[in-house]
Amino acid sequence: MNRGKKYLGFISKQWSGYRKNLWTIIVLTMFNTAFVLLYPYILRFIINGLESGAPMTEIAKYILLLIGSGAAIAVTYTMLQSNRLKMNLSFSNKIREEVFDRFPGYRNEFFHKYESGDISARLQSDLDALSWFMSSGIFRGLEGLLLIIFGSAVLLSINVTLTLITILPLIAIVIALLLFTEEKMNRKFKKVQEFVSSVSDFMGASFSGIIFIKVKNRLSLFTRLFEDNLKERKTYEMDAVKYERMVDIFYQLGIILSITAFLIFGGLIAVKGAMKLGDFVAFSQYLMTLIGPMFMIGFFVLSYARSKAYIDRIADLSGDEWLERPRERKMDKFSGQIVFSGADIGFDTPVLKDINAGFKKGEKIGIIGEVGSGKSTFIKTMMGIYPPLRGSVTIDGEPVCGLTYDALARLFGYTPQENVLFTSSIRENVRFADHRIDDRVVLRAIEIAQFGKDLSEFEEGLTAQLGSGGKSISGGQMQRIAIARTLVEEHCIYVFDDITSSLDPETEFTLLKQLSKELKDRTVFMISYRPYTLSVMDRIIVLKDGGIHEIGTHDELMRTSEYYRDLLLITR
Amino acid sequence: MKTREIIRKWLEYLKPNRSSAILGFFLLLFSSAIAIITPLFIKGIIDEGIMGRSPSKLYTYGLLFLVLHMINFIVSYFNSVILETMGQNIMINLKRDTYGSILKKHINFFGENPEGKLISKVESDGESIRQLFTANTVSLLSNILVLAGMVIIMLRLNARLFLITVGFVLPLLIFTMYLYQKAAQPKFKELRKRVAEITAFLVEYFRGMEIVKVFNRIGLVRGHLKKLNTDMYRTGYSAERLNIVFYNSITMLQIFGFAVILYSGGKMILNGATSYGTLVLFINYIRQFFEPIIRLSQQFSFIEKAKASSVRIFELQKDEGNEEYKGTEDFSFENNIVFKDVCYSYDGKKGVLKNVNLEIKKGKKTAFVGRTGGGKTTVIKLMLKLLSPDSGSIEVDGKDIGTIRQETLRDKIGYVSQNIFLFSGTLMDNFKMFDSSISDEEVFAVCRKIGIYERISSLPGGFSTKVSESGKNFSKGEQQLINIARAMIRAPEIVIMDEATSTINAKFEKRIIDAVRMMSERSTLVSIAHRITTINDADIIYLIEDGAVTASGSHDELQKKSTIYKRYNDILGGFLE
Repeated sequence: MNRGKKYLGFISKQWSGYRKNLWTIIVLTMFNTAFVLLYPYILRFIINGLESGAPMTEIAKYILLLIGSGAAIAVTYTMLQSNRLKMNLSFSNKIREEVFDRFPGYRNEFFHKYESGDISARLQSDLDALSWFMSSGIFRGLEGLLLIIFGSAVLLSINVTLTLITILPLIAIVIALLLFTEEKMNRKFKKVQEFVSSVSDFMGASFSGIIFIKVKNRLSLFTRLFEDNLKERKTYEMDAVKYERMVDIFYQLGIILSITAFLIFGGLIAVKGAMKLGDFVAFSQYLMTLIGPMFMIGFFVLSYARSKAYIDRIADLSGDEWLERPRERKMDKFSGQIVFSGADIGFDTPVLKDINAGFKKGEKIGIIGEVGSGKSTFIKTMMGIYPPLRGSVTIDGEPVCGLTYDALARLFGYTPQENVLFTSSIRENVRFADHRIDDRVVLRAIEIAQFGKDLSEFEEGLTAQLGSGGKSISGGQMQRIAIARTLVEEHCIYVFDDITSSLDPETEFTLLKQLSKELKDRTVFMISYRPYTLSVMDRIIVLKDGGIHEIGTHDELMRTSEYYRDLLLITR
Repeated sequence: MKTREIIRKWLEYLKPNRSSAILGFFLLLFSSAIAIITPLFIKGIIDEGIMGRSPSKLYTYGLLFLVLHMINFIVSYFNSVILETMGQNIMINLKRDTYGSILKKHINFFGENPEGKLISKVESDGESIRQLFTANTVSLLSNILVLAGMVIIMLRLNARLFLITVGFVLPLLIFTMYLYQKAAQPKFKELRKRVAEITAFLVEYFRGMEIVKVFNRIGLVRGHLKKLNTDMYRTGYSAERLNIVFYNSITMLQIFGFAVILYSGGKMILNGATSYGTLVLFINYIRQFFEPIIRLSQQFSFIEKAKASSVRIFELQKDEGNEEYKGTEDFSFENNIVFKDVCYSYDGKKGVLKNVNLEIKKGKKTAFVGRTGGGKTTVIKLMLKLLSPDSGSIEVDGKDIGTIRQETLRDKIGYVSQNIFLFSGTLMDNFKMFDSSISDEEVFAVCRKIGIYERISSLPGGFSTKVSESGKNFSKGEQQLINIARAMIRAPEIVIMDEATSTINAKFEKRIIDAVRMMSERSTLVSIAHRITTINDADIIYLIEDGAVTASGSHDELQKKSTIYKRYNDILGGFLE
């Protein structure tokens, strides 16, 4: 009961800003019902008129009326459907914006829990289906209900017994079938859908990984695996098709039984003269007219059940439990003093414990450690992306994770290890921070990031499109664009996560030269395994066994630390 | 591609299923006949039963109506199963052939054709051909039959009434359909584009949310979504609205058709020229008349689509652009592999390799160094016969590589690539690359040797841990380790490591490389790296700059004779400044 309230609450909340549209739809539904039920009635007059030998002029009037009612049905139904459609689309857009709007305020756990494909499924197909239900679904249900109530009333007025014999069993059959079979049918089609995706995934993987298939001589093996996949998919598809066909036949059977009953019993009544021929014909037309609405009602019941699941799936994405602690502290001037005191840091369990360290403005800090030693976590905590699990990380005495994103964006310039670029031009990707930045600045950043030579190979230059629909570029090129993106705006502190691993030594050298000139009095943090990169840093932090193992200059560490030399494998 | 050629290919695929096709066709004839004659029973009920006041006729016609329909249900059920099975079988063969043909293409083909495009060729184009072999051809045939049957019956019962009705209704119907088709196609195409845009947006910005936060560009993202939503609304509304208007126009036309029948038919009844039963039959037929015509128009566009898809798929199945499998001799390697004046260019214009000469000696370690884009990886691909030289030659023990079967060559080479790709499946699947003839023990042994066995066994899923979305659940370093182990299964004679260890620290790397060299006797190692410790113990190092070998020799020799190498070495070693 309580849960039911939750769903109804969700739906009525969506409608609350749209009172006028709601009433328009209700009124249109009523008018349409009236017109739809009117026309077999006119038909009845026409045939009864013919039978009783009325003059053609009289009948022509009714025929005009019939055309009129047809036009009225078409017009009102067009308006009704358009209005319902408008609301479907509005709901879908509104909810998508509302939910997506919350994402930037969420903790990282959220982004780890959901995969991107899942998010797009929930905010597209699920949401579209839900929005359809909230407008079209509900009012199709109403349309069906009105048609059946008033249609049955009309039928009862023509002949009570015949109505009871033909309509009632049919309603029961249709609704029962819908309720008992739809769920199963859905499951079967979902299964098919899963297999279709898995076949596509298989293909995608083999085209992306083609070089491995070729060098490992797996050509015919993969073709055979693909065929097996298709065969398995066939069994599911056949299963679904057979079931669907079978169900369909039962519906048809219900309808045919009802029509047969009508033909025989209606015919008998008409033979006895208890019903005129016009009544008989009108009755048959009503019978046909009411089959649709029965499905509408059954479908309404079903899609309500499904919509509840959609509401849950969308509500999962807008739960308050994902919200970050508020970031309210504004700052626009920094001296850049960073202090870690007694900080345990990590994603949910600490990777690094009891970290104490301080960094002054203008320092160049290198960070090194084995795979999984917590290098990226360290910098992400420093940048306020992860809050420390214990202790504090402050800048100028303020906890970083309490600073607004605006303040953080001014403070930190960051290039991540993974290459994240967006579908857009090179220009827009580089000036992601602010689209008003002019081309001079963009080009300079590109030069410093050592992407200049690459850029000259794009015919379209800065306007070359990246990502889906645009040119695909190599991982190394993406990384250098991401470096340029960090350099277009001035920051107090720059953080580079392993940006030199894929560079050749000459490029590494030039890049670092330029960076140290450019960022002379800025603080720089640089994760790397490359001796040269580390050698130009003022201090190097060596992370090991959940803590800071050592801190020192490259030369000091080279002299004193075997572990450091080991990591770099340099013997002197 | 000519239509005749396409039809020939279609028939080729149909051939193994011809008995199903023939059986299906006869069952279809039966169903269509029933659809045509049943409205006649209603006419019989009205004219002979009700107007003729004969209850026995009511029972006869009523029960006939029921029984024929029931038989038809059974017939059409089996028919749809038969045809669906046929369609599925044809599809399996068609898709398998297409997929197999794609795998055979030259490696450069995959650079030019993005993955999504190839999937859609196999999947969407395949499905649109399937439509042809099942549902649509069937309903096309049955629609034509039903339509023809109805026309014949109406003509026989009352030709005048038929001509009047059709004369009024049909031109209007065709005109409406024409308008709809013309307007709808571009609209729905645009709608699909909009949906794809929103999907791309959601996926991309969800993945990139950290960057959005760090750059504080939440406002930008919000504006972007709003714009996409607005476009979606506009396109969605105008496209769906077309459907709404179209279907309501059809309803309107139908009622207009009833009016025509009632008016002219009514006059005929008054003249005694026709019966009530005929009038009702006409009304029922006109109800049914619209459906097949609308569907027919849709089906012709399906056929056009299937034709276009067939052209794409059958072109793809041709051998053009395939990797050539000319060599017939087995690969054997005793002394060396020699590149003699090898030139290569991807586009025929810009030379990637220019007169490269080098030698890879059995049992030795050879290293390539040089700037990114200088041609190091191209050398490797030539060695693997993934590419073939434009001029010059590559010789294995003096035998041209072109004469060697690539399967035997690749079997002996363990290639650890720069770009890693993990397949969906378990870790074990990835190590074995799905080859079930490789035993688990072999995989364990390799993992033990390169020192990752413990690490993997300690995962919650162990070797059965699922690899998700191209390896997202493993760090880059871990992915590189898996990639190495995969290449080492069944101890290759030659191991090629192309920047295979860039994110692994030097100490661990050293251990791995030692293990790799231990695995087979007199193993040959070819290594590309930007790290001094990976290359300085090589027997010979080639400095490759701008597609040419500019220096070669051992580490010590190169230090002396090549200033570029010395400088590289200094940067790589961190000995500069």
